[in-house]
Amino acid sequence: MNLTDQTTILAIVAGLGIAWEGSKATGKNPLMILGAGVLLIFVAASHLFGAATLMTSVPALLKDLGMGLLAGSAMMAWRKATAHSFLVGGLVLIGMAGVGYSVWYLFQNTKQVLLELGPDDRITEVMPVLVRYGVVYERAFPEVSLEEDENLAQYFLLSGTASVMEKVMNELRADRENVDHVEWNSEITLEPEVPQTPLNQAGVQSNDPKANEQWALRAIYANEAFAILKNASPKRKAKIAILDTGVDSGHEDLKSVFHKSSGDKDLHGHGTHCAGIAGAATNNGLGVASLNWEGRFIEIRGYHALNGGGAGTNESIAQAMISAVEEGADILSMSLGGYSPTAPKVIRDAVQFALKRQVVVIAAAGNANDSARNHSPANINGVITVSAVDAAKKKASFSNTNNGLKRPIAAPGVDILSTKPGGMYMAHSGTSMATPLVAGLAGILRAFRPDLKPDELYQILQRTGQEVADSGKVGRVINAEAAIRVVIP
Amino acid sequence: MEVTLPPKKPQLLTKTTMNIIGTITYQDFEGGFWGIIGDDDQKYYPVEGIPENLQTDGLRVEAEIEPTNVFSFIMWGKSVILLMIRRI
Repeated sequence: MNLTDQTTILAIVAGLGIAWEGSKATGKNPLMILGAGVLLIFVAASHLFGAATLMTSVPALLKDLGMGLLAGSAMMAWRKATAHSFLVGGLVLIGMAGVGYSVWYLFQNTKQVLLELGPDDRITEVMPVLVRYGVVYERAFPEVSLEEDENLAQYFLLSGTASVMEKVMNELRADRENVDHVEWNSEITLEPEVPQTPLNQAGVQSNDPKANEQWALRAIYANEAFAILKNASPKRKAKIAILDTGVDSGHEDLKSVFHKSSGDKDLHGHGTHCAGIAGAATNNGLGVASLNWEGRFIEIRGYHALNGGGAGTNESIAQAMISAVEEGADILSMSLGGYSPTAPKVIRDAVQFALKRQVVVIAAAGNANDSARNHSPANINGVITVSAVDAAKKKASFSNTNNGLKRPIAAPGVDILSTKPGGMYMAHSGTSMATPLVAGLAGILRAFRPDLKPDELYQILQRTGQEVADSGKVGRVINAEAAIRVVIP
Repeated sequence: MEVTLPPKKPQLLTKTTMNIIGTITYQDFEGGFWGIIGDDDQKYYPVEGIPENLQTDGLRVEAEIEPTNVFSFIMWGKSVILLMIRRI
């Protein structure tokens, strides 16, 4: 018997006692009245001081008092006395208890979502969705003005019942014109970290032990993409060529996805790091994750464009591009370049060679905090130029900008964890790291739609990308989930 | 102290040498590397590295450099070959 049962019985006993004495015409016993009063005080104290919250204790007290009065009304009626006031009082109190419990239930089932509007957008533009689902809103950071911070000032806290908030989030996410970002307003507690916990209700986390350290995957909605990929079958595997210092093809997290190619040994370590970002075997219980779920979507190939010191000549780079294209690459991932406002002709010609064969060419914007217009091969027409953002999705301090170029895009490039030769793992920063992340997503798109032309593929990345505060400088940040949804049959 | 470096592979060289004055700097991206920020605000990346005894952040140096047309994964500033470098 729990506390509520006990107090209900006590309240009923008190109600019966009061009614018994109240129904007597003469000879009323004051001790009986006093005893009933003590019982009621005990009941009230038990509820008000013994429960965790007033939201549940007040309705419980009202219910007990109501039950006491109803029991009293029955006693009065049995004693042929007037029971009307006891009956009405009991029903009113039980009704009030019902209202209290309803409020508590709704409160318990309210979920909150953080909505970020675009810098020029107003909450009225998404009002039809909020009204349709009965969602209430308030500014999340009312003390921050648009002039102070155009991101924080545009955050709204939405509250609604749990059953509708998922739909509200989906509708808001689809509103790319007004909405920059939507996420659950998660509670952060100091409980021990539990590995392998899904990070988003709509997403799936891989079982790779280091996946929880890969903030970049969360930033590009990889877990949400995994939810799609785990049940999807590609038309074929896409071939991503890593043009770099080579790839450690025997690395535990790469050997199952590596395809025989000339750069199967890493002369430095840079190429292996890029390869892991582009396509490390994922959900294999080893190391890191990429977008390559179960290794079913991407095949990695390595080419020595750079030597062991990390440098390459125009010839070595062009040769690596040509070899990769001739051997059937879908994507060239080039985390390399140099200051060169006018791109070397041989590299331009190699890019054209690739594009004519519908090979997607992706290159790093460079790390000089300069314009990628001065940086080759990033500045060659037809190349997708990748700038880097940090965990706040702001331009990384070192990253070159890519505005003014034909195909700008951005991806995380700070503290990116990936593979290191010798079966190890390490975090690095640079536009070198952002580039294979884009290449990996491009590979997934090609795996579903091998017919996608380089420009069509770029348009998907761009159209589905996340508009961020620095998009004017670095383009949109890729969104794996949204891009993959475009090519899923 | 002056460090004269051995001749470089001819295919990496162009025809112009330059003298610069600048400051040694360490950058922690792309695995970390040493470069020179010239007093002309240009960034110079010695593709074959900076001598170990001069690898000190903030050290003022004078150098004779040869711009090269090599590309690298560092992608920071102008790639150069160091012909001579000394602390000032």
